Amino acid sequence: MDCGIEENKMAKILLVEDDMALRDIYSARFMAEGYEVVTASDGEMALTVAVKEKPDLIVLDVMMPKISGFDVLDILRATPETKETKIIMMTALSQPADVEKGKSLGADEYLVKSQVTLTDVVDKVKKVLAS
Amino acid sequence: MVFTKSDIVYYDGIRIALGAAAASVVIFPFFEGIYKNNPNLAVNLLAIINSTYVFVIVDYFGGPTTNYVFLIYIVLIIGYFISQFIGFALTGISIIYVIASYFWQEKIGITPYFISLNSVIFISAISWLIEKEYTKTIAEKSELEKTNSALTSNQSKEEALLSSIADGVYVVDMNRNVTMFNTAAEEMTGWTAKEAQGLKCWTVMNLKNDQDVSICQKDCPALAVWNTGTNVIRDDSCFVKHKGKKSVQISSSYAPIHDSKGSLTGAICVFRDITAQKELERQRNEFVSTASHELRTPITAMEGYMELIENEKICKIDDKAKEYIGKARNTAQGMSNLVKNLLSVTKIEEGRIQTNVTKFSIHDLAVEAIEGMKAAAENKGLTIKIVEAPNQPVKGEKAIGRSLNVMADREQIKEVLFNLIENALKFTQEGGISIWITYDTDFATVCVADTGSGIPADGQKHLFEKFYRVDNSATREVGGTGLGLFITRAIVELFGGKIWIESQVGKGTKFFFTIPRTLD
Repeated sequence: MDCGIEENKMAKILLVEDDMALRDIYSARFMAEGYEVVTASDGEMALTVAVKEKPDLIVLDVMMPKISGFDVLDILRATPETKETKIIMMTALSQPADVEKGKSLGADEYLVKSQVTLTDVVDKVKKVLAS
Repeated sequence: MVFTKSDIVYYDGIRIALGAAAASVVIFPFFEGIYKNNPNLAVNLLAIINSTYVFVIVDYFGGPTTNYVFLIYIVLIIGYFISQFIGFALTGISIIYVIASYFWQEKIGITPYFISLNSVIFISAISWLIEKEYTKTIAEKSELEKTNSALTSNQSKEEALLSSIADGVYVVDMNRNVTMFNTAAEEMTGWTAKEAQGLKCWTVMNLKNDQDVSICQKDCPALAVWNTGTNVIRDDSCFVKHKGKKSVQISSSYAPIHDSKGSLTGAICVFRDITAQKELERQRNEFVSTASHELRTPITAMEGYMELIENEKICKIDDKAKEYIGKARNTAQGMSNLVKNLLSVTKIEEGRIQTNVTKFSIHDLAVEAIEGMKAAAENKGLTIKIVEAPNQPVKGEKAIGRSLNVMADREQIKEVLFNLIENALKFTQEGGISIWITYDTDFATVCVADTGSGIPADGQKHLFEKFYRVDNSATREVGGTGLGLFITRAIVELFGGKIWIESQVGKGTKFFFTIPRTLD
């Protein structure tokens, strides 16, 4: 696996996703693009890892047990260490209301899983990290 | 003993006659009483009484001068047993015999014999007439009773039938007053038959649709039945309000009633509580919805892993593996589409489709759709373009001089176009697809025409049904979920449009659908 020279490719992504297969797939894909990937399987773990690892981008699933992605987003934006971190929300739900909620709580992007391919996600990641 | 004229007292005759009459009056109630239970016995007793009377009277006044007088008595009884007429005839004969035998012996005028014989004839005749009348009355009464009991048993049978069936039944006359209301109807509406009798049917039934708008006012099924002359069925979104409890969803069927001359006399309605059935349908729909959601996760994971395999930065695979993984991905994509369509279908069934209705140009949307499908068409060597409508594109007053926009959910109509174009591509091997749009006062009509194999007439009937696929060998490879047209039609109809097809085997297919135009 190549570690790219450009700054983008050295970026660290925190992937928060409760489904094991998806976690596996997204990690592999991001790593293939050269990113460093750390994962968390629920909201609580996500907050701990976010503070500890200080990722450049958090890819955050909405539907999770214990605490939901929205709550995690809220707390991340309230925590000084993670206030400015780029966040992409991922969800299976496609209600316009949820998209609004995500944007209003401070997500940089909101993606609906059923409407985007893996490549689309990678493109979005690149775009958000570059902005 | 022989009387002479001087011995006759006129009053004796009257006394005898009166006595005979009195005796008849006394006998009659007994006769009636016995006749009720045993007509034969009564008649025969009457015969005996008649004969006895004849015998006594005749004998009292000297009787015929013969030693065999008892024989006459027995003959008379037997005669009456056999039949009234024979008995009466024999009485007549014995009277003649007595008179004749008397006359042979002595010539007299009015004699006791004469009087007594007359009384006897009189009594016999009266009793015979009474019996005849009585028999007739009894017969008529029993006929009447039989008919009545037949009628009552029929009526009771009818009432028993109507009160035991589980479906509600009610009848209205031409003024829409309720004239019959069965037990099940009582249970379903909370009105008793007595209360409902004579009331207007809309007071009792008070039908509403699922928006709680009264059906009775705008869309009375009884009126529909009388106007169209045919049966009317309402099997969706029809609720009847129970007096005390909540509304019940019913499925109902109305029919006109004609009398024997063929003129309309009313309408009859049979209705059924379908709440349980609807609940089952809702549960089934929910199950399909849940199952489809559950399927999405593993399918997504599968597609994700396969994409990783195909990614050269991650995995090294040989060409054969690449080929097969590619095919597996296509299959997974098909599964994913099926799940997506299943979810759409469950939303349609529940009326839960979400829409975002806006004003937009259908022409521009068609151009976009064609752009999106251009690659797929070119892959197959087919053309796809927008063309001018073959006939006048804008017609109808108020159609011209107005924007050519339509009102609908733009994304969903785009789905409709994609679905129709995809179908056209699937079933066309050479030539291409043309799209044109025409406008009239209220609607824009879009046509997606192809130069494909066409659809046979019997297939056209089922085209919009769930999972229907035109059955011929060419299509087996073509794939597709069989749900596309069902969803397409639901979307078109959701916005107030219609969708239909013109097709002939070997001559290609044209799909038409309409969308309402905006007013400005």
